[in-house]
Order: sequence, then structure tokens, then C-alpha cells
Amino acid sequence: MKTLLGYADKISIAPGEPIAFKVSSEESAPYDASIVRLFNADTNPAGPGYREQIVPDASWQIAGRRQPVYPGSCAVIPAAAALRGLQSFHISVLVWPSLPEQADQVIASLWRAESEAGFILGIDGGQGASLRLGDGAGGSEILCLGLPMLARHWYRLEAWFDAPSGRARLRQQTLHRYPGLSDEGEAHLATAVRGLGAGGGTLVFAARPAGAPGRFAGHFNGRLEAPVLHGGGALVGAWDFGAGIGTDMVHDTGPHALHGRLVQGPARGVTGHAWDGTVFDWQRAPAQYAAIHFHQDDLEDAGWDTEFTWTAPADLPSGMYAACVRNGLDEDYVPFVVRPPAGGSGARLALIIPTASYLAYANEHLALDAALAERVHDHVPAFGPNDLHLAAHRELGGSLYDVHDDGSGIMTSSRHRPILNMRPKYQSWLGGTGSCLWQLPADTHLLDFLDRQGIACDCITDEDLHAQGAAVLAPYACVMTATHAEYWSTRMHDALLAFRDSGGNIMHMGANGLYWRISFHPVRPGIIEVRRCEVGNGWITPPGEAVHAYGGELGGLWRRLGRAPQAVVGVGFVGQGFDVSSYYRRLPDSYRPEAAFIFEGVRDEILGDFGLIGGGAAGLELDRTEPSLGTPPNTLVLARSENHTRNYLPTVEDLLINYAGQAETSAVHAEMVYFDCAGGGAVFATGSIAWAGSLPYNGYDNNVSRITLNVLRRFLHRNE
Amino acid sequence: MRNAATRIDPLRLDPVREFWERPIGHHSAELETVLSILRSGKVAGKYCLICLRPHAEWAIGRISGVRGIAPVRVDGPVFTSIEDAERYVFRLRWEAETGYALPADDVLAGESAGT
Repeated sequence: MKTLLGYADKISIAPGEPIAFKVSSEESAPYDASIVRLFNADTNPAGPGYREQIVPDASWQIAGRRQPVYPGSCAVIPAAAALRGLQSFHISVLVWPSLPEQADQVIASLWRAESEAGFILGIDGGQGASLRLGDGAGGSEILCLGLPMLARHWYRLEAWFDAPSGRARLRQQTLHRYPGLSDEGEAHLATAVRGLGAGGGTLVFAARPAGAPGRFAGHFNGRLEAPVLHGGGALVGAWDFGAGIGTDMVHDTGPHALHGRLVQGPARGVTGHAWDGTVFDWQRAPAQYAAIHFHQDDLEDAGWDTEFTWTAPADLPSGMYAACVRNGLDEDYVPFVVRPPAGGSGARLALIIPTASYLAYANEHLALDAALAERVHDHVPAFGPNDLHLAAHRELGGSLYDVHDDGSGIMTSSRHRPILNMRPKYQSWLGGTGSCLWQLPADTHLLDFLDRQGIACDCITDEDLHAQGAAVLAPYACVMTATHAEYWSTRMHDALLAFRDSGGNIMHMGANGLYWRISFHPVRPGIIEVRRCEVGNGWITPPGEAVHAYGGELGGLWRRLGRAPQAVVGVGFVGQGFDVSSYYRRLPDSYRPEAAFIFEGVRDEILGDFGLIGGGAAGLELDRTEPSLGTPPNTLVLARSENHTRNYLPTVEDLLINYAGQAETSAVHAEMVYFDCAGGGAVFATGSIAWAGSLPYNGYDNNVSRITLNVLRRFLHRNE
Repeated sequence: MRNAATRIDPLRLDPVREFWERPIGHHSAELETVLSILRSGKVAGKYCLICLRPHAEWAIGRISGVRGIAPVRVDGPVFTSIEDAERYVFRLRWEAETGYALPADDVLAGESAGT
């Protein structure tokens, strides 16, 4: 198991900006820390070798302490006068449990853990509703209905307590009816409790205070809606969870304005009990989306303390860097990007580091959780130390491909936690054979190549692109995308298009790019949301929930949203396989005069029949042209991959009907394209994730690196 | 659901020889059918590889199928070739599926099957 884990408060800093590192030394042992610049994160002995460079005057010796992670979401209403004096009460909540058989799940609590005073309305281990009362002086009673609840069905739970008499009442009412099923009822109890003790407790929905500040226990899994609390016959609060969707705020419509906040990012913009199937957008009918879906494994921010900070020197070159922590037995790297100063460094090339896509795959558990993973990549998945640690530590949260403990899809991903697969040296089961790289480490093949060629390159992250828009790309003649830039916000998408249409040149180096729309959290950087509408992937968005909570845009594939990647870069996703890669064969377009510069010095018909990712330049995920989806008519299709294994299967959104032998006859291959744009720039796309893995072959001297360099040099100097 | 014993003909070894020649990569339809059956088990108890040293050493493990419980290494050799580890898992699954033991590695590797 790993003994060092870390993350940073930022993923992109400009020279002169500070960055804070949060590290847990799991055995509270001391460790050394330093800053390194990453060039080649691939340890494959068949390649050029791992390469990092130590940044001077940036090292620390840290005493080390364990910093735990406490997942689980809830809604917290801070202590207020109207809550402090509560003795007799009535509470009503609509409840949609997703793991009703699990013990100790709190619906609502006004509870002081240290004195055991207050009340806890919950559901308990398949016994349905329960009510706990405590007077803070040792008197405590529990009332339980013993009526199992159905998963994913709506109920109304109500509890009454009359302090002077000690009488308590608990009711579970179903909002559905099945003949022969008794899942509703009511119970009364004459308790010895005569009050809820000294007030001061915080009202919490979906959990209870655990004693220590900011700590909660008894997390509920499922949806809650419309809690209403009365005290002594008067309304204390009535919370409308349909207000403030997309924010962390919880809105009280009652007389005391007992507004609250959400902890650890539960899901909003989800259907409530009143959703009738006539609206599909929470903005049009918030009352039908007045539920919040809480999960015991929600994690938005690990909340660790800073262990050390560093300020990037003003003259530090843009690039990918990492804080490296080591204790003699283990190490961890916390990667980040140093972007150029405002206006650029003078480099004519920018590489967009696809940090949103890194987040989408952050702490992915597919090969651990899904039996299909082995079938998808056609060999037995191999797990390294980081995978084994993730498998044992679900509190670190999953990726946008995983599901929560209750089976619902994980719709948001945050970088405010250790991300064990966003690491140099990390090998992923998704990375095929050979180097087995996916995302960040695979993208360093591009960085190493550019550095060895002496080509100045600024690194811009997705977050920079989202925050600054097209202006951040304006200084560059050429913008390069990475191996798998799959997740794009609208502002990122707009920025790339604006760059292209104003004369910029794009080298789209990977595949399955510009695929899913995401939204960034409107306030907190480093958190993204996806809705996997229509086609799904790992899970599928439930009916009526296609609209993002963050910002209210319709989610899904950009292709479905009218912006297919083919219309931007000429090619779009066609299929995937994760075993071995293949090669390209040149097509007649590659011999046209306007393509001559691309193939200068290249005599081969076969391109990229070598490489560190699956042994070929065409592999993992592949893109091809599709005129009906917007591939420009002036596109030159320069080369096409062939001879892929049977494991290369068409993407599901292209399958309009199934038939026997479909996989055998589907056109799953990569196409390498080039086209001039009306704005004066041009686009070159490789159509393959594995392309970059072929750059290092033969000391970076091969037809893949030659083509890449030919295009790059033309694009860099095109408008000079 | 067919009887497990009839899903794979244990006497047809040509797909096995093909796998021994190339565990990862181009496979015939016949071999893919066999692999689909052998790999169709539930997550719980499914074989996996545990990488002991990157690009150098792998052991056999089993996936727990329980969230929060990591794969566990099982008794067996340490492999210095990922292909050999694949062959080893294939052998375990074949024998569990069919009830028949496969010939030794050198016997399976000795007769080229082609693809």
C-alpha cells in the first residue's frame, strides 16, 4: 500500500504564482519533497527512458502526518436561535433511498454527539424509518417501524415529538402502491424523554454531526426532498432543494431564513418525486427537480492542510511539473502545469494539457468493478501499487466512469483529492500493451519529443482555456491537442473554434477528442460535471437528468449537441480496442501537391508500424472522417489505418441496429487528415491516441516523428 | 444457459495453440469465442495480474468483487513475461471450465497454429 499521497490547490500556475501541496504521510513518517519538471513519464525500457529534471532551490524535509479522507455528502443548516430552543417538533421529509438495506442512514438530525441530545430521523438496515431521541442527560429512546423500504421509491417520512408528555410518533408513507406489499405504517411510543436537552445543535440532512468540527457520520444514500420542520406548532424551516441548483447553497423558504450549505458535493439537478416526464430541464420546472441525491462516497474536497508551498520563479519555463515526495519506501508525484506569463512566453506553439479529461478518468476503477474490462482490452488487467491502493481506499473517490456505492453514476470529479492515476510512471490497463500509458503519462511523449526537437512550447491547461477563453490561445501560431482530449466545456470549445477561425493552426494529435460536454463548477475551480446522456459510458444518465446542474447546459456528446468533432478537426470517434495497435497506409490524397510538405522525407507507404503504445501508431481509440457529421469537403484523407484486431469495435453511438457479424464489417480505423480553413489556418489530425507513442521510436527518427515535425514546422511559420 | 461442460470442446486444442503463440493481439474467431467464454466470469474471484516491478515482473491475483477490498495475490510463479502470465491464467481457466488439463507449455508452444 502507498504511504505517501498528495494533491495541490491548483493545477496551473503562472510564473511567480504560489502553489500549495497537501500531503498525507500515511504512517506519519517524515518525507522529502522537491519540484521536478517532467519530460518523459514513461518508464518503458523499450523507449528513450524516464526523464525528469530537478528544479533548483525547491526542496523540503517534512515531518509528515497522516491526513485522512472523510467522504460523504450532506446538507448543513448552521445553528440558529430557531433551532437551539427546539423541544417539541414535527418533521416531514420526502425520501428516495438507494441503499435502504444499509444500517444507520440519517435523513435529518438535530443532534449533539457529545451529549447525545436532540433527534435523529433515519432509516435503519432494512427496517425502514427510525427515530432516535436524546435529552442530553442520559435519557435516550429509539423508535423503529420495522417496515422495509423499497430502493429507489419515494416515501414521506414524518416524526413527531411532544416534549412535555414524551410521546413520539413515526410515520412511513409510500408514494406508490403495490398490492400485497406493506411498506408503510405508523408507530407511537410513550418515551421517558422530556426534552431534547440544551440546544445549539446544527441541523443536518443526510448525515449527523460526528463530534469533531466538520465531521459527519451516518451518511444517507439516496434522494431527499422538501424537508419541513415545525417546533412547538410553528414553522421553523421549509427547505426547497430545487432552489440553488448548481450551487452549494440550500435555501430555506421559512420565516427564519435558515439557509445552509452542501458538504462534499451531492448531486443536484436530479428528478424529484413530482417529476412527471413532461419537462427535461430543471430550469423550466425546478419544483420537479427539488431533490438532492446524497452519497456516502461523495468526495469534492479532501480538505487536507497544506504541508508545503512553492512559488514558481518568474523566469521558469512553461511546462509540466510535479511535486515529488519520497520517504525511502514510497513516492508520489503531484503534477501541475506552469503556464506561460500572460500574453505567452514568445513560443509559437501551445500544447493544451487536457486536465478536464484527466479529471474525468481520475481514480478510475473500471477494471476492478466491471467484469467487462478484461473483455474490452482482450487481456488480463494488470494492477500496480496505485491501483491496489485505490482498490482498498474507496474514500479517495472514483472517476466519471465509475458508479457510487448505490450504483448511481458519478457525475462530478474533483482534483481536490489525491488522483493516483494522474501520475508520471503510472501504467493503465486502458493503455494497451507496451508502455501501457493513458492520459498524463502518455501526453509526456509529446513534451519529450518537442523538447528534444528544441521546439519551444507553452503548456495551457483546460482550466486556463475555460477561464480565459480564446485570448489564451491568441499568441500562438499553432495549438496542439494531446493524446486524448475528450472532455470539453462550451467555453473551451468556443475558444478552440475561435482560434481556428481566426487563422490559427491546429495539430490534433490524439483521438476521441472534443467528445463529451462538461461544465466546470461555477465557483470552485477544478471540479467538472458530465451527464452521460443517450449513449452512456460506464453508466447512463437517468431520464430527465440530461441538463447539467453546473450552469444549466444540456449535457451529452458534442456530436448530439450539434458540434461533432468532425466539424472542428475533420475526424471524430469511430471505435476502440485496447490490445495492440496497428499502422497506417498512405492514401492517394497524401500524394497531392498541397500535402507534399507533410510527407517531405517520407518514402514509406506504411506509417507507424512501430511504437510504445501497442506497437503501432494507430491504436486505443480511433477517429475517422464523416462528411455527414461535418468533415469539411476540402479535407485531404492522407492515410488510413488497417489490420486492427477483432477487439477494435465500433462506438455505440454509430450502432443504430445490431446484427450478426457487425464487428467484422464495421469500418473501425483511424484516418489522418489535413484541411485548410477559411480563416487562413489549417488543421492536421492523426486520428489515433497511440500516435504520440510512436514518436520516440528509433531515437525519435521515424516516419511518425517526421510527419509530425513537417506539419509542425509549416504551422509554426505559416503566417510569418 | 448451456451446461458449462459443453461450452468449450476440451479436445480441440488448435485455439489453445494459437493463444500460446500469440496471447495478445490478432486472434481467430475460434479463439475469440473460447476467450469470451473463459473471460465471462463475474468480477468476484476473477483473475488479474499484479505488477510487482513495472515492465519486469507480474504475479497472478484475484479481484475481490467487493468495493474496498483490493485484489489479492494468489500462490503461483512470478512471471518475467506478461505473455507467460496470460498463458498461465488461460490454463487455470481452461482447466476450471472444461475439467481437462492442458498439455505442458512446451507441447502447446511446439506446434504452430498460425492465425
